[in-house]
Amino acid sequence: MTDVDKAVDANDGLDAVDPVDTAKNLEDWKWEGGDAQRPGTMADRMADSMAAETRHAAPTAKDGNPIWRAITSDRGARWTSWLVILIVWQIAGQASEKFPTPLGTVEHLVKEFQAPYHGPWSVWNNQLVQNIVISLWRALAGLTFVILIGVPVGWAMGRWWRVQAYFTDGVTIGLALPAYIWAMLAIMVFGFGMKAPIFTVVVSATPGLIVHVLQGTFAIPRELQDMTHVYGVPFQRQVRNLTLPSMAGQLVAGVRLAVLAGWGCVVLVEWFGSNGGVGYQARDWYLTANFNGLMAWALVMIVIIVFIDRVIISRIDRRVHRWRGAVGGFGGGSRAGQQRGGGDAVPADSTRD
Amino acid sequence: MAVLKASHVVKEFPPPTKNQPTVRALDGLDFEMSGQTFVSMVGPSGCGKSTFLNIVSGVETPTSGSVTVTNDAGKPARLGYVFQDARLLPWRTVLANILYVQNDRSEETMARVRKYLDIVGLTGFEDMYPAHLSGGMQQRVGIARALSVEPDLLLMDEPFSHLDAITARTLREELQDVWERTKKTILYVTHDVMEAVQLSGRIIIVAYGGKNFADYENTLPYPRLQHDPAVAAMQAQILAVFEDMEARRRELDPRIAEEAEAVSKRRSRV
Repeated sequence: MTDVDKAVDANDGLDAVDPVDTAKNLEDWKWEGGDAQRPGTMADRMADSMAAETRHAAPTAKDGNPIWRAITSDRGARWTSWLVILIVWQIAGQASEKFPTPLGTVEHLVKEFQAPYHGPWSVWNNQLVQNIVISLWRALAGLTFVILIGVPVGWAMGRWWRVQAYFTDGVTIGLALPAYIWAMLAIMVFGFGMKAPIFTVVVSATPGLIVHVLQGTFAIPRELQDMTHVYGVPFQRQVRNLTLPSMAGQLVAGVRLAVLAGWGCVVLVEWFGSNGGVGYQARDWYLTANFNGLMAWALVMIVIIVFIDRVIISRIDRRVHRWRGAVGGFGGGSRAGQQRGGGDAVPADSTRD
Repeated sequence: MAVLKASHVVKEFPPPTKNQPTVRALDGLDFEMSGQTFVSMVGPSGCGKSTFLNIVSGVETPTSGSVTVTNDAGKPARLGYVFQDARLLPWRTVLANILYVQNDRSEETMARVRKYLDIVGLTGFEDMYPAHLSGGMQQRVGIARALSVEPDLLLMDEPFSHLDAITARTLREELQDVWERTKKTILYVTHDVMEAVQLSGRIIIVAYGGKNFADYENTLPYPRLQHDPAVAAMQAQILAVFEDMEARRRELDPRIAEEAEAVSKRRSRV
């Protein structure tokens, strides 16, 4: 008989234990610090805990106040923090003419909107809208090339190791060079106009998109590729049903990064060498020491990028991942991330696609 | 129906690191099968069964030797493959998963897809995503997908090994029923001797190293139930062959004999 067998025999876990003896044993359990430091019985500790919770949960007169509830809610706290920041900023701005203020910034934006661009004023023909349109047009043109180049190259790099070997160093250099170097080069070569910002967007944003797409190709499940190969699925159907959905996460992340980088490049080129656009306007007011003007156009830059991200890219992100919502959400903890080994079927989700 | 000819198939995998030898998964495997036949390939884990199936399906290429799969007309056969895991597109519904491997979306194809979904008992689940389904149901979708392309040769790689015993038993019985109705050429890979005896008309035993060891005809009548004494007797017969194979392996490799002796001594002490 082994030692383990003997130990099991001696401590047969199946013997019943008298509950009275157990309680007595717990009560007689001695603590190192003696009875003075011995904690109370479990019932005593539970009662103390419940009393403490009751004290914290006791309703006060303030809890019934809707204004107080609004202020202390999550949304209320966020709005309150923004209000406080704006108030502090306004007060700080009074200290110096060189410091922009929120009210001054908004006032300047209104003036830009009221100033005609070329010819008579209209809702579209004013400094604010026309300069935004110029910048957006440049960004859109550049990003179109970024996507047309970045997605196929990234995919090809993931698909064939020779292509990856060919492009790796170029992508690394593209990532390493700061955007302002490309901006300076572009202005020297192309001068004012559309070409310089488009070129800068393409060379600055494409490497990042390529890296994301390349990572996305690694995310295509090998077993699904094998299944596709066995059944002889045509290439187009494979791209639509396997490649793009597998890469969707990395693709959206790459496009998001490209949009952020691209917009920044456009503004940068316009700052240094352009005759129109958001960046040009910001530089113009900076040179005239009008800091409310500078802040106003900086605010325009922020609002546009937030709008594009929240309204366009996030919606695309939700759409390409809508199947996850139908099966219980994102992440490894969701039902979509779990394997099942038998048992009853899970009831259909009401948000089925 | 299909004709499968495997001629002296050898498959070697390069060593994972510099200090390790080349892995020889298959070592001259030979066999042929054709017609309305259900053939099981049985062997211990790691003997090369799944590798052979991957070669037949075109996922892998043999190092030497050849595997040809043709239909009755002599042209390359249409294959269906039921994998160990269901391998469904998680972002597509059940119906979309099956349509993914079809040649077209004609009414005839849609009717055929729905027919096979009905055969595997999944009518009404067409709009569900794979994550909504249990493992057994996902595997049934995989079976329906494989059958719906009306393959000349159906390959099945331990399709029930990841399932619980009750679900696996139910699906085995359903598979027998499906085969009775469709009479496809099926090559079924398993390490479960009972499964092979229950399902197949011919059992090919593959030894370690990917070599042919034995080839048996199974003439027991269908349906074959697990509690049937004739099925149990045949299973015992096949298991005896495995013991013989293991004995020969011990003779050939002294390290295995030493390890077997050590295990035997430990058991006798207890």
